[in-house]
Amino acid sequence: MNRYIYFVLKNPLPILIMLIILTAVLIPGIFRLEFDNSVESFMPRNDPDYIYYEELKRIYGDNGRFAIMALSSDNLWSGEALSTLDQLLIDLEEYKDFNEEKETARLERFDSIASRGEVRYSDLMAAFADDPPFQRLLTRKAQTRDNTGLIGARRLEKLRAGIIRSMNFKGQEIVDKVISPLTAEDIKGENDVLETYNLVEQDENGRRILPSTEPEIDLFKRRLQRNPTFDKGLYSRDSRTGEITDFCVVIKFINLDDQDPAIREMTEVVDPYRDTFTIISSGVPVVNMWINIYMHADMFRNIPLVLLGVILIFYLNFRSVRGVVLPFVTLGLAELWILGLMGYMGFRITPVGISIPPLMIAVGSSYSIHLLNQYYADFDAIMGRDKREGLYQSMTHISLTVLLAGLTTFIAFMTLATSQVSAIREWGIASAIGVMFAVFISCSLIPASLVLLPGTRPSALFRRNKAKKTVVDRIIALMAQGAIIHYRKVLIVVGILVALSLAGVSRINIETAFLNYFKEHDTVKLQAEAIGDKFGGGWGYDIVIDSGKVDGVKEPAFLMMIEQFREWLIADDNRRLNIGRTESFSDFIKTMHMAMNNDDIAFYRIPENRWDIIDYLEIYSGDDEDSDGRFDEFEPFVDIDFRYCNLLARLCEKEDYHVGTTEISRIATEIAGHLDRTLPEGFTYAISGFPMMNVKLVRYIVTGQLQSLLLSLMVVGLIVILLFRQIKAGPLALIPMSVAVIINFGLMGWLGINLDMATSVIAAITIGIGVDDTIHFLNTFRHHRGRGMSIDETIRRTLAVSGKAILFTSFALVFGFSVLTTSNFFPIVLFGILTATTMINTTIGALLVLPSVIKATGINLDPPENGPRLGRYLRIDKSFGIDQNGTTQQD
Amino acid sequence: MKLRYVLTIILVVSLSTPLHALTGREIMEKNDALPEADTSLSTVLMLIHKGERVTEKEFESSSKKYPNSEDKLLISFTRPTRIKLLTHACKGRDDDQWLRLSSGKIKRIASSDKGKPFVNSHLYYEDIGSRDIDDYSYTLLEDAKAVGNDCYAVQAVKEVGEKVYSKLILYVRKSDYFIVRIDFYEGNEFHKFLENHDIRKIDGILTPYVSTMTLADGKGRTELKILELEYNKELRDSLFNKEALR
Repeated sequence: MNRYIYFVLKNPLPILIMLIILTAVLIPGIFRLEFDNSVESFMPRNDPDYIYYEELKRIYGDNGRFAIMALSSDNLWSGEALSTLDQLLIDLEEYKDFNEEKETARLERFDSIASRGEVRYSDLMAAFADDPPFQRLLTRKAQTRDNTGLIGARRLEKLRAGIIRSMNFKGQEIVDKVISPLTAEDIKGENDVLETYNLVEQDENGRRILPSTEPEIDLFKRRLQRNPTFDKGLYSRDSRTGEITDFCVVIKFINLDDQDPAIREMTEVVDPYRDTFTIISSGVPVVNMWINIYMHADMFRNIPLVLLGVILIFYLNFRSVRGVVLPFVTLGLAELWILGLMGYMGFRITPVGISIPPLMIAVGSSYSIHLLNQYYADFDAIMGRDKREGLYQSMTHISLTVLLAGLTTFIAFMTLATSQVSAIREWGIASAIGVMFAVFISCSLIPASLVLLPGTRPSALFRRNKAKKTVVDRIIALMAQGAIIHYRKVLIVVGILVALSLAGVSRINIETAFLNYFKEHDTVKLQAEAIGDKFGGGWGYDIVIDSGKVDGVKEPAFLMMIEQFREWLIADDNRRLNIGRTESFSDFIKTMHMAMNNDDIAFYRIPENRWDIIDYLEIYSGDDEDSDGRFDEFEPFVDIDFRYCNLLARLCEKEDYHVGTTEISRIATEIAGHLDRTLPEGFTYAISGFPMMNVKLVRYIVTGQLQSLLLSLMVVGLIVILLFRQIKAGPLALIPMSVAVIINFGLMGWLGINLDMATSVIAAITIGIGVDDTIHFLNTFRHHRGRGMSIDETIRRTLAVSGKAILFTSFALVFGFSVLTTSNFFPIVLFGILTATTMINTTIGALLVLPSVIKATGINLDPPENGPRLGRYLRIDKSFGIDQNGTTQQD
Repeated sequence: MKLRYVLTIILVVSLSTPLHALTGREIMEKNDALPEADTSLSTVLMLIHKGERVTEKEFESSSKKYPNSEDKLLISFTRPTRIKLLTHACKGRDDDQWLRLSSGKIKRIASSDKGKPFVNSHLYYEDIGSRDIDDYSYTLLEDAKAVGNDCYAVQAVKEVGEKVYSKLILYVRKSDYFIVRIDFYEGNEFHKFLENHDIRKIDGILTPYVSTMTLADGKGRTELKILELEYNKELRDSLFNKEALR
């Protein structure tokens, strides 16, 4: 390290140029970054529940993750509204059935028009007058309705890119199914004629013949209300008047690992129709999209704010331009480098990965503040002799400590690279590399800049030294007094706090309710509640009942049992189950039975005769696009052998009550209990679906984070043991971090803050900063102790030197992260509060608790004559240039 | 005059070489003139291939010729269901079809449902029974080879009643005017094709013992295999009455 610092000071300009080049190389990687909160990024491939869930998706499709919309309008029953709905459906259906020939012809025609260089918008529209869906696509992509303007070559190029993007989605046929009143089919049997029919008839080219006159619209209305299955499935009614108020449009996707790009494309399609309809949309992909948007927006809105806050404290600390610019550039570069590298490595920003930018701010600030603080502390000595030599003397010691802290954190995070959960694994690798980036940049940029910059002493700092003690000085004096004189009291208070916190820890709920991420009146939350109210929910369980034999699902007794179970799920007495609607294969049988009995509603039930069911399935008329032996309509509900029945039970979000992971588990347990009691012998069941995977996902993230925290702590302890060649140094080093973590979790327990995906990532920040503070304190302590000072004096000196930097860092980060409390997104607010708390905790841990323990136990960190056997071989202290007295070796 | 191709027995006549180039209509008239039975009684095995799964069904088919081409056909399943389908061909309009369930309930199949799969097979209700030669317009296409035979390719477009298919391409064997293959188009899309194999002459009537309807995308097919067959056996008219279905 010393040699590197020497090299940096000798070649400052090439070093700075190298930093610029590396930044330029890495920045483009940022544009490759994508957000990903998919289940797949968190699930170990060998998890049995996940394997089962994937199997279910393969057999029955992705039933739990759909987009659901309620469309309402004052003129819902007008030809105009129906025509607009038809246009929306046509636009959506283009993503279901890809017509390559048509799309290629469209693009060719567009290219031939665009080849003119610039085109009047109205001319472009006129060129596609025979293709209204493509006109609408162009309008969406052009984001203009000004039909007079000219579209220049660059905008045309952009427009083309938009068209190609949509074409790619269409080519993938991302939409599996669109369910709506205009696309629905029914079966009727009036006047002894059995007929499967579209609620809205189609011409020979498959185009819908929309009802436009009053009698036609009345007929459509009657058809819609004829089949009880459609209530809350295709429409919702006003609970008071019974009038149909909303049409339901459900978009089911093909099996996609990440639905986010698909739902964004669909949202782009739907948005223009908000002029005609009031559209409420929800469902897993929609809520996830909003979480991603909020996270993204908050990250890019709040990180600059956090940086601004941090800069302000930098300025207040150092009162110099370089005191602001150098740390700022350091953490800025560390941020850009790691995000860029992640982009190049194909890593994605997951809910865990979102902690990487703030982590970089934390460690980047810390490292640069330590370096600058040392610079100002040694300012007189530096200026008193050859500047380069002075800087070398000042920087070598502190940069070595920074490297030690960074390497310890690096190893701690790198241990996560073995995790079987890809999101945790990627997080470990990225964080570890990011920390080393921060070390490298701070140890390169700051010495190189300082050697080039004129050696002017900041007047404020100068005045401050001359004047009375600053707040920081007073706090440090207070800490020193506490650790040296009142250490017993300090330890007792800490002991009590830890005990109270442990009691709080036991109260922590491991719970993630995604809708609780949004503030009270946030539209995402309100829309999810409205969808729950109108259509019984936007996501749900897959409850698979095994009849025990091939064709068992066709047995009346089995289907009747399914019906009884469904009734139980939505019974008034079972409202605590929060099931808003159920769908099952039995709906088809009931519909057929009614049709075969002249549409008599009394026959909307399961027939007693087995032959009826077998015959209904023989004469049921539907498409079987994938030719797997099941009609497309049956696919979500039965397997090809008709042995398993998949019942879909929608979870309903209600006002002031959002179904979180704990609740999902509780409901599943209650359903399982009911099935255990009531399911006849020979039948078995399994409860799965996206909500259950969510429970697992959150558990994996939270436990993964906690395990990583424990693992990191152990690794840190081990490294400190090897570094100081004393076993007792390990537990000692863990005290500040452990106290910080326990108090943090205790606080969460007492304040009722759930341990969820967002709050569990705080553990990483705790390690990042905790390791840094501890290593700085311990190394400086040993540095001074090695010079023959008493413990009291050593603590005083250590706090005066390292404590100041630690406090500066803490102030900067507490203030910086407090800015996050202004966020619109609840997890970010909590993240801000908890990170700020963690900073305070780790600082108190390092500056008060650690010296108090040293004082109380009299632990001597001098390296022993004969250290542990392992230490004799693993002399990493030597590798880092720490001599027997704990001082750094000088070249 | 009837153009028959599925589930009914096709008669053949020996033909002299035409002296002039035939039109599509003329070729179909020659096909229509092939000998056919007054009645037929057969047992047919239906094998439905979907994915890796094969479903077996068995039915008895009875048909009887009536004047003015208003032939009647009764299909009675024996396994796994006991559904019956009665078809009355009607001159100048869509055939009437009634479905009888095991429970005895009878429903008429609406014209709009003629394009729906019949008992989950790759055949539509429209494909069951016979077709009147006059219901179609014909265009002769270029000669083609089908099922290993030199054939005339004739495009047929339905002009009467519900139009399930936009067009059919009929491959008529040059040697005997027997139809060996039919391509079915829905809209502009080639949807499926029927091929006749194992064509035997029974009582002078050309009879395909195996007919296969295959989806154009290759995702599935339905095979029909004649297990037993009897021509010109006495069949009561009452057998084909709607009331007799009960």
